[in-house]
Amino acid sequence: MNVKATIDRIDVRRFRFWFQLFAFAFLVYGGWLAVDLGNSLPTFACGYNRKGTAGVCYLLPLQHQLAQPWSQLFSKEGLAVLGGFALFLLWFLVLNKAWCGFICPLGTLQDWITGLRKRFGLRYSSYSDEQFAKLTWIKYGLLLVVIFVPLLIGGHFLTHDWGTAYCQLCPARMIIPLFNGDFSQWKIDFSSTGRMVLTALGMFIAGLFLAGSFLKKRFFCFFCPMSAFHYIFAKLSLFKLKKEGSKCTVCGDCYRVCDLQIKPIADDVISQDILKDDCILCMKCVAACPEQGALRVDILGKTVFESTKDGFAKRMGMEDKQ
Amino acid sequence: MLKPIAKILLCAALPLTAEAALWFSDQPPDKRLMKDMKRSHGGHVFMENEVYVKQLWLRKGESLMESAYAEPARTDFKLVDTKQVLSVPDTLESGGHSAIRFKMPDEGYYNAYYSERSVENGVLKVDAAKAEILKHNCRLGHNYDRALVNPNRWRDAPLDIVRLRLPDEDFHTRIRSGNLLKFLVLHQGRPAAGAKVRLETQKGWINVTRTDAEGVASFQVIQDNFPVEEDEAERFVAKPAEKEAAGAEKPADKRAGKKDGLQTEDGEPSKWQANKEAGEHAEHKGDHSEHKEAASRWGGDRREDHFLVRVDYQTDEAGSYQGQAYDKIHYSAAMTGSYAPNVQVSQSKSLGLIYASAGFLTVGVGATAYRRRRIKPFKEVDFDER
Repeated sequence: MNVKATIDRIDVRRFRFWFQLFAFAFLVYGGWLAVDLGNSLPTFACGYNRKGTAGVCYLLPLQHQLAQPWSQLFSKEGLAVLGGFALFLLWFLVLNKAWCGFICPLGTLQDWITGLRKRFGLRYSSYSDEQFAKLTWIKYGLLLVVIFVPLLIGGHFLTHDWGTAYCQLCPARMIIPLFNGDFSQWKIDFSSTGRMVLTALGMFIAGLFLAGSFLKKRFFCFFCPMSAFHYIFAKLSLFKLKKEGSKCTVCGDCYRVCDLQIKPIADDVISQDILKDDCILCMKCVAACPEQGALRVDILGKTVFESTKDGFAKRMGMEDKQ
Repeated sequence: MLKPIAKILLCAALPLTAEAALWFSDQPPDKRLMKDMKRSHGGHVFMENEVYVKQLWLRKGESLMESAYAEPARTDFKLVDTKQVLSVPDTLESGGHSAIRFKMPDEGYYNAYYSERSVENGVLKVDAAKAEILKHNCRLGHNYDRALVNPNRWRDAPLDIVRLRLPDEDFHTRIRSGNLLKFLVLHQGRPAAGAKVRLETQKGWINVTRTDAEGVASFQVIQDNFPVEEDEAERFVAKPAEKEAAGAEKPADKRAGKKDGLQTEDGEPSKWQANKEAGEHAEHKGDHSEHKEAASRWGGDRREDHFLVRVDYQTDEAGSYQGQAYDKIHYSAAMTGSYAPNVQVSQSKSLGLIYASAGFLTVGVGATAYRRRRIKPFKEVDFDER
């Protein structure tokens, strides 16, 4: 059996579990080993996890940079913003949204909470099509917060109390530092009106996150502005999720395993580039597809993992019965 | 009647009368220069080809708020960079006063020194100013050598004040109210025991102590920097009529303001000086409006006040300076620093947990109720088989 066939038969769930565990430990504790991947990571390596983090989520420095006075931002100094963005793009283009499915510490944490729910034998929740259609826009709203609130600060329309507004709302700020024993972010800051509003909302969202992740798979990813930001540049990535519509029988297996309830993965038999804005590129759909070559993952145009009958049979434990 | 007498008695009892201290300030005498400056971790800087350039002016006075911009009597400036290399910074005329200017290409602390000497009543007075300036740019990352956080110093300084670092201090650490600040006083490189150390905050809180056998003096930073709500600040703003009345009473003082250099290039007294002249009400306005301005720009917990620390130390060395004999040397040195409010004062963990619990329950109870509502109760269907 060649390497390609071995990869196609891989147990994606197990591979992903160990990969996520490693990535989580690396990003959350790597700082203790002096690992520093910089400030432009396209994932929630939270900068508030001060000592432990091995790099910083790009949304934090982006908000800092955009909050410069406009006279600086729209001058030669503003080029530094482009420098940080270029680095973010480089990181992102390599792995596309697999940053979410394999590396994001907050995503991994949600998968672990889902595992806990399964142990309790509780069924998961899902959104109706109408709810899905409405809620999917929230992440774009939060992306606007990431970009426009700092710009309004730079233009002196808002005070610096509203600085890093999204980070104040993000549950990663409260939850990731906990893994290094740091509870300092669990607070409401009354030093100003802006801080009070943001930190109160942040604490409320942290509570939503914990309960929501328990009931709904990848609860927060659906609202994640990083996911929306990724999707803007997803077409440029070297890493692609492709679908061969002619080979699809629309059996719906891919949709049923999808943590983000992305319906077009099953229904759309026309698009080739099937990556959607909510996708986290976890590859569960490829692993669950029983049709030879209907779904595949390409890197630089070369297929590295695709759905095969053989792989499907192995993963479903049907090989032994045959 | 008793009030003025009590004031006189209180003043007589205070052993805190300060002589004029010489210190460095990065606030330009002409505020228009601020337009060309950028705020950085080490205060205001100019940018020159992406390199931070610091400019410092000498000021002299009894306290932070009572000091005027001063002209140096000599050009005895020294600069110790992050690699402990000693050099002489450039001097220039800026904002109508002499200043020193130096580049800060490397991350870490730069130290500027200045000293001047004179003989008065048989005592050689050595007055020194020191500034410790941090260069840190977050864009360069945070994987820096932790040793760079440690203080640098000029080993031949006649009298040096070294701020000892807080536990776990890094480039982002702020001195906050409640912190125990420690200063090591060195006389010609050796710890100076028994030196008088005086710390005064921008608000006028003063504490005086003496260094111990190791040359260390400690102060717990006071909490005198409270958030000022907009309506509260408004109450302290002097009304135009009050201002006019107060200003009309002291035209001569206004001219005196010009003399000590507390003025802008327009010939108008500086904002602080104008407030001071306008009497007690306006003094409140000065404090609170500055607070309000700072708070609005930088947020509650980032609001900073300054302190001035001054050291006096005397030795029985005899000699002569420029033909004048002396039998004692009185050293003094001063430097400034900044401190922010204690964040714990304006934070609530318990309320935070209540809000988080509310979020948790909203989803938990909401989802449970939604699921229950969707369970359709069993309904027996009867068929009439007749």
